[in-house]
Amino acid sequence: MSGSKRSSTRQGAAEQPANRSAAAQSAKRGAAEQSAKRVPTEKAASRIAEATEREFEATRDMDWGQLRRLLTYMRPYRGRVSLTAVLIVAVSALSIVGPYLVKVAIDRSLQGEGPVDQRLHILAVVGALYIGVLLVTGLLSFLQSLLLQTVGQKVMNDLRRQLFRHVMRQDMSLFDREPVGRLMTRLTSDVEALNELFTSGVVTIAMDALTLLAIMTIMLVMDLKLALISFAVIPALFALSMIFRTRVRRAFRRIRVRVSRINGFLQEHLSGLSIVQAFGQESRRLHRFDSLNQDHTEAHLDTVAAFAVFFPAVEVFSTAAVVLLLWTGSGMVAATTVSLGTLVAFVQYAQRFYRPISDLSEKFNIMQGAMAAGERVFVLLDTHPEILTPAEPRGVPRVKGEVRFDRVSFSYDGQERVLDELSFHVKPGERVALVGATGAGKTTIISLLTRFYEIKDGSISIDGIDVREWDPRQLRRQVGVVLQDPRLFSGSLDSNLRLWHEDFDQKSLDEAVRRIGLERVLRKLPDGLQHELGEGGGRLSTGERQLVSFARALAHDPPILVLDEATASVDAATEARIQAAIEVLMEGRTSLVIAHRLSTVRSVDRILVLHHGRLVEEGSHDELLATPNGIYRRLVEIQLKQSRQA
Amino acid sequence: MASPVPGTAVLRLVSNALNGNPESSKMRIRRLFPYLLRHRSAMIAGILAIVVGEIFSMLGPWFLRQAIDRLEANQIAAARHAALLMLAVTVLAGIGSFLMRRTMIGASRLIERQLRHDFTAHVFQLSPRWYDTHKVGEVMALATNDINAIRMLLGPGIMYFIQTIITAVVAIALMLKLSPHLTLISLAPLPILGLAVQRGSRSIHSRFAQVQESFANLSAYAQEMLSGIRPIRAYSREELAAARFDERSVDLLDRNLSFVRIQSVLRPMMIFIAGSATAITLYFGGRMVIAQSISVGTLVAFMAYLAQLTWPAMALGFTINIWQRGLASLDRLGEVLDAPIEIQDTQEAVPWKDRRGDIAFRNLSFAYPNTKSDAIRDLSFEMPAGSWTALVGETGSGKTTLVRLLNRQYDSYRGSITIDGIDLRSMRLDDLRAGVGYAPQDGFLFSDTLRENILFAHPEGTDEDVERLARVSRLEKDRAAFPEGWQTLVGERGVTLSGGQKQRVSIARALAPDPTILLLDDVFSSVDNETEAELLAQLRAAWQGRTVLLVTHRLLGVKEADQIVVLDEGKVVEIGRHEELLQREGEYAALFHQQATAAELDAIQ
Repeated sequence: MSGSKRSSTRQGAAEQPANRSAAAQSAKRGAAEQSAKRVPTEKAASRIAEATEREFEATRDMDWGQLRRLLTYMRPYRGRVSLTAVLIVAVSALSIVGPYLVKVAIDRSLQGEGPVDQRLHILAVVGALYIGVLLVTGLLSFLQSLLLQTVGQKVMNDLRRQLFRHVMRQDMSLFDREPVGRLMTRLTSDVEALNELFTSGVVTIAMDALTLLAIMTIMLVMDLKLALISFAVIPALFALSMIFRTRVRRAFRRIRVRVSRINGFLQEHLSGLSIVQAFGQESRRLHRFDSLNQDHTEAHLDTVAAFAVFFPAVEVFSTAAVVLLLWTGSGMVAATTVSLGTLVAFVQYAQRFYRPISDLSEKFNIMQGAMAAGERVFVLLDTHPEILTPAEPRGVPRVKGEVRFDRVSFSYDGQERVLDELSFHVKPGERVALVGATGAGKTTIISLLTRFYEIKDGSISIDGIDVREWDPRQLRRQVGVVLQDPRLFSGSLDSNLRLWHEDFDQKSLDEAVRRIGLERVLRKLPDGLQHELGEGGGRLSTGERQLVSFARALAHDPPILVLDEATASVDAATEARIQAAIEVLMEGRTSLVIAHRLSTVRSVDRILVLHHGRLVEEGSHDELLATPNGIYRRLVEIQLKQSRQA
Repeated sequence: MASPVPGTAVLRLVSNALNGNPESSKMRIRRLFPYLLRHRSAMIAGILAIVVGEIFSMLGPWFLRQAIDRLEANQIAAARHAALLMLAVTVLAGIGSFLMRRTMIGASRLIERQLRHDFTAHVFQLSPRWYDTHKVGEVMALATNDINAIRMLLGPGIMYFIQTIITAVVAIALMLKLSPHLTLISLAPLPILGLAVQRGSRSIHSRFAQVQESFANLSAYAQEMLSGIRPIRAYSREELAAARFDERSVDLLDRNLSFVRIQSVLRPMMIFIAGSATAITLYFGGRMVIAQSISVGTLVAFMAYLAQLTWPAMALGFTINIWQRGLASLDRLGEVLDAPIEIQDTQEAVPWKDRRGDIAFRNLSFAYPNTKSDAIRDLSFEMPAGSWTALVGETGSGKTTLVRLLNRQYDSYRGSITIDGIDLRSMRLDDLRAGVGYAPQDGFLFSDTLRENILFAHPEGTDEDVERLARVSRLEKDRAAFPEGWQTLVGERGVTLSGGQKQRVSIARALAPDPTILLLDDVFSSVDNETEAELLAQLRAAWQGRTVLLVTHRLLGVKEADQIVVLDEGKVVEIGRHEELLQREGEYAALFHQQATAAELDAIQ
């Protein structure tokens, strides 16, 4: 057993590179065929298709390392897993008893010599044994299935939870890179496929192999010649399975690509359905969907053909084994070298050959798909965040609020510098406005202050402690951020304010609602704070969503407040209300405001004017106004001119 | 217990087992009739293939019996002859099986295609009101998992169901011919099998539905959290979000375990019951052989038949599973397919022939479903053809709602909206869609080329059109940022556009079909002021002769509008030209002075 396992390991390892390149070739070939067929206007579609196909290219046959890794997830359940293994061996062994009992019945009782009473007695014993074995087999396979499926589900649960937690801990750059849809696939269908890999794949293959082994063993023990004759069809059966497997594997890969294309299309069009409807493009888009749908169906029809040939062919081969047995056996029975009972038992054994073998090939397909899924899951699990909590984090429960940027340079892509040796200092309680054109690096400053991204050059510190020395969670508690695009979650308005934190201080929450003027919004909702918002905040307007996110920030009472262009899509009146609230909020807090309006800029202590990631001017409103030819001064001049015009 | 015709017993058992409530299952299945009818020739051919194939298949044990009986009688040549016949019928049965799969499974794939098409066509037409209460994730789950489950029902479900019946009928008929007595004894466990299957499968249905529900819940949650990672990170709620995911994952686990329990009982039980039939045959048949009332060959053939029946019996469990899942999915799919399409043409729909673009709102009131107060209250004003109206007002004052109503996203308003004298709700929808260009707040684009996005509503447009629209929408300015020009892919697998770029593509898209009416909902929020000024200047040339409704927060650009409508809490509080409103020194004047055009800040550099 262990010998065969080793050799198959070697074989598997040797197969890999060849298979992988073959897969790559066939994928390329497929893409080439497609793009050749397409008219130029569909170039885009084919390019998307190629990209999708590339994603599935990693598909390979067997990966024992991955299998081993999957097994580590079984460790908490090893008791159950070993019991399952024992049960599998037992059930496989029991599966050979039936035909043997038939042989005994025929030889010793039906054709036996001796008094009828004795022959009837033997028959009764054999019958009772048969029923007994069945009962035991039934019970054991029930237990085996229950244990196995339970472990499978539990492992899936563990893996799902681990994966989600893992993804939540990843750097923001992962979310910039990976679309949500792809992460969702990892989390749902790929995890599910891994379960299949174990429950339907590995275990069933083991079971089939053991059954096959048991049948072959007993046949060899019963009669060598007949056994060898029956084995004659096995190579043919295996060959057939291999051909089938290769063919179906290709088809399955094609199916996966096409399924993913259909899903992508649908997901996107449902998200943008209001656009489709607004332009009355439903039927045109549906037409486009139809061609994806058609491709998908065609890919499936290929496999239908393969399966339709395979199943009957297996049946014919296994009957051929029976016919061979009868052909040879009839001579042997006549010559009394074997008993009739033995021949009948052999016929029954031969008929049981084909199920494990045909199953094997089917299971290999499941495994193969699951391997690809597993690879994607493990690749994700092997991605580790760059931004970590230091071993011995420094930091204080509540900072005074001193912020320092010291020669900070930063680039998202390693090429274009968003911040360029930027240095500035904000004293505790100071209010600072960041001013500059889009792309000046204002938003980046906030992302870096909260350590969403890691800086390579320079240092950023809060209360003299470098942000990289903080526990990121504690660091982020110090900085209240109101982001550009207010994001709300389904659930009550209340849970959106406290963000699921159950022990949240109700008083500070109510206070925040009052001060932000959220009551005006609440009045419109039937259940007030308990109103259930739909996905993404439901029907609240952008401005209302922003108010909620303001209240959320306010309720969390951070020592440092950051407003990221939060005023951009709120009308002036609402903004005035918010600004009044923010005035109160800013008391005793260090505040960094990405400013768009002069009223904000006037109310701060200092203004930082940024340009291309550099600090170009700095000072109070009055100081900057006194700077001849200063950017800020020119700005105010324009403004004055315009208000005169008005 | 033992029915005189065992075949009908099987039939009854199967039909009972399929559902505790045959009425409702019949109703649900009816939905699939039109699809099955369309592929009736394939289905009939498949059934014929099953009949012929199974008859040949069941002749196998018949010749096995002959072979063994001849062998017992030492007639070697005759035994070998019978063995060859056995091989021959298996080949013929194989051909039948091949044809069965080709036709029936093939047809199920074609029906799946049709079903997916119909489903997509329907969800494409459902109104925003419907989507207010349904998540995209749920619809996606239906389009993938549930349609697949229905496909399984239509393909393997129906195929194995018919195969099971025919196998049973043929096998039992041949067994009766061999020995009626032994047939009755050996098939005695069958009713028990049916009963057991029925018991077990009843709970499979509901448990599987629960699994699906929990799964949908988990997916929707994960999707939302992954999309909302920024605030989660900012407030350090990663662990809390993960803990909430754990709850949902454990819920799914519990439901799966309960499903797995039933599944684990069912199969071994069926194997046991089917196997016990073999044991009974061995014992009683053995006695009959000893009593010389049947031959050893007959006994062996009987056991072979029972083995053949074991597969259908097991397939029955499998089939029932498929049917239960399929029916559960059909229920879920049915709910969506039965959701009425709210916004569609009535029979008396009026064409919009002479497109001028006179718009009038009369006493318009509207409340979103499930909200207490009206978002639009008794609103009346007119937008003459070719005029430019700026819609301003506080957040939540109803600006976007008004745009959505004018775009007929919601029908459930009171009062009236007319375009060129035609009531909006009675205007032909296609005409309305073609005549109204719409650029929404978020500037949603499809992951397609820029060109395809621009020509979204005007697919027959030429390269010149794209150039012209890019010019008008000031998208041209950024051309250098697009590596493949207008053929650059947008989104996931192409370039990521900035908010302002998206909005400009969205404007170009709105202009592409040459609309009579143009609705621009806060489309300048993400473009800088310089671009906004240029854009406005360009647009104003482009929108000559069109009726334009521009929602905006920035008042700088709307000074020259033909009229400015100020909304507050869904009501028109001020209306007039810029100068008039300034003189009035009301809300608008206050707003205008407040803004004081500081937005020029960015432009100065």
